[in-house]
Amino acid sequence: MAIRVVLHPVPAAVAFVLAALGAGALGGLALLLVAGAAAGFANSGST
Amino acid sequence: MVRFFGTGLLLGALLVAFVAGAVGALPQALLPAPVRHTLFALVAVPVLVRELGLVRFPVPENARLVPQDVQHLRRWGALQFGFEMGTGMRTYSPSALPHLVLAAVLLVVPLPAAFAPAVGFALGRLAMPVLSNAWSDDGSWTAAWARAERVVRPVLALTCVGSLAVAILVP
Repeated sequence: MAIRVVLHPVPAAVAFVLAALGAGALGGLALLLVAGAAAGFANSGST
Repeated sequence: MVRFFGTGLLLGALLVAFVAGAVGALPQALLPAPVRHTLFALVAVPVLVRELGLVRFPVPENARLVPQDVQHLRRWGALQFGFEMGTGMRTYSPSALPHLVLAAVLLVVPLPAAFAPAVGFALGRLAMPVLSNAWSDDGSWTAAWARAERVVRPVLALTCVGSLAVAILVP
């Protein structure tokens, strides 16, 4: 059950936010990568 | 099998980025940056409002399910399935964020940099099945996603739009 708390959509979404904040320090390419990743995750639906 | 699916996702996303980047070279060469930024904002704001759940409108999508026979092709099936998913044009699109990223590549992101969101798209698209595989095959992941969707979608939208805006506006 504990693994489900970690591998849950909400922590995953929070991870994208943290990645974006970290990418801000790295530059535009990293930010574009995170933007694409957020779009890919959102486009997955439930599967 | 995940490797083949992931490779297919990457190839599909890179192909779309290349084509969109090549097509986008024309408006990016002809239109001044302020005009292109304004056009992008005219796409970004409605997409953000939609993803926040404040308005509803349809987005272009291929309204069909993936054929069942893909799963019988094993590795090549996974590669093909991933490729088609990587293009983002193979089946239903539950989010408008891929459309926004595509608009960014067409209007404001030059071709070499367009591969970055493509790699990200493939990784993000891969994350969902990887996460769901950690759950038992009893529909519990789908239920968890359905419960979390009202929170997750706005967070992803703000992350995507915010990242794009900073990447575009900050040199």
